[in-house]
Amino acid sequence: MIQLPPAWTVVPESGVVRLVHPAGAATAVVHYRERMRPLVRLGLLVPEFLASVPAFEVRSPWAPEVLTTTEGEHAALVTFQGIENGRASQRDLGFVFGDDFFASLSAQCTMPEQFADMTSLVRQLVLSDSHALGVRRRRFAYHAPNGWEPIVEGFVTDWYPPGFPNDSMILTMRPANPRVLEPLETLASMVEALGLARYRVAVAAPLSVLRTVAGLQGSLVTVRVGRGGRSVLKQAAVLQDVAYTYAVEVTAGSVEQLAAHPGLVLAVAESIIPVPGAASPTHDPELFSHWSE
Amino acid sequence: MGELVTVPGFVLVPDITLEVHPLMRRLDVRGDQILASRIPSGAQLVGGTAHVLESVTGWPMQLIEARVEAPGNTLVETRLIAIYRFLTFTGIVLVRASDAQRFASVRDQIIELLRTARPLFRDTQPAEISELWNVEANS
Repeated sequence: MIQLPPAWTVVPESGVVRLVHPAGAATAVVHYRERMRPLVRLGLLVPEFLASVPAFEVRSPWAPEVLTTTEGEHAALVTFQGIENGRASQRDLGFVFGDDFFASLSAQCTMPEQFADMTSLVRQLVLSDSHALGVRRRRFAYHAPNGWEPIVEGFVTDWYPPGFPNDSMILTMRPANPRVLEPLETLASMVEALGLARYRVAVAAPLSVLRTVAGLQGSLVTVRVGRGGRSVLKQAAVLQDVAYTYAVEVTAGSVEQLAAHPGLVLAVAESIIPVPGAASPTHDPELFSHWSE
Repeated sequence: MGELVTVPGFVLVPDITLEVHPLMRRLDVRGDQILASRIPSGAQLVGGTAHVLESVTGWPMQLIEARVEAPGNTLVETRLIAIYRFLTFTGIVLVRASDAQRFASVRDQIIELLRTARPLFRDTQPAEISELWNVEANS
């Protein structure tokens, strides 16, 4: 939920919070919507929004501003300047991205002398947008190998190389787990779980210690996992920062196929951008302002 | 239907086309029904010889070849359908040719082309979180 800027008015509408500038709607209006689905990229959200305001003609190039809210959630701001009904107009679009939903802020201002202040206001509203999603698994940014195709199932993405299935490699990326919920010895737990599921597990290469440029620390392990007459190689990097455990896992049909992609797990592990943290908590005098008129 | 590809050849009347259907996230797709779809009134599908093979990267695929014939055994169209199993997805390419002789002359080339098929699994879901800021509609 966003905060109410001082002296702005809340106009209740169905499915949307509408905020009106102190000088009236002719000056500026903000519309806020929560729990919008599905979660898709800006390349789809922005054209959909622009199509909903056909009277607005974009006249300036635009690029997203990447933001992180004070709660540590991913967010973005896009500003368009253009012409609307014959007048100079600015549209500021803000998004806060949840796990499978997004919140959107759409602001319209027709006073050029207020454009810069409007963008600053929308930015602040996005940054302070509160969703209280709490401690949970989080997806994180990384670089997958070029040309590999993803299959997404919930929070897990499996990546397949161009030569699959002859090149029987699968890169599996799971969400980062909060350390408060993870067992301390994550790698040992993974191996133990395979054993309990009646897989034969044998260490295929010595454990090695990892430390990434981003400050993540952990280990790399390679094991052969088999059941019946079949086996595969699994190589996994498990890394941690103060708050989360991150895992990069590759499954290969053979030693030769794993060797055909040297350094794959390490490269992906090195590319991990840790989950952003929340800003230090501060007293919020505006916490209940959305109930005021 | 997804994409229609026309094989260069006859100028005025395209006679060999490849209909590339969108990838379907299910395995219970009836390729034989797609093969028999949109047949002109009065005509029937004849034949249906099936071959199992692999794509160049090892994906399992099935080819079914048949003829669309009008009354009196008049050939209307030769059809060849490729059905691919891409993990939990099904891919379909339907080849349609109105000139039997020209199709016969390029049949092997078409089959080799069909064997080069690869799945494009990516959909609108962000595969990795930084894709959220991607301003391209199709990443």
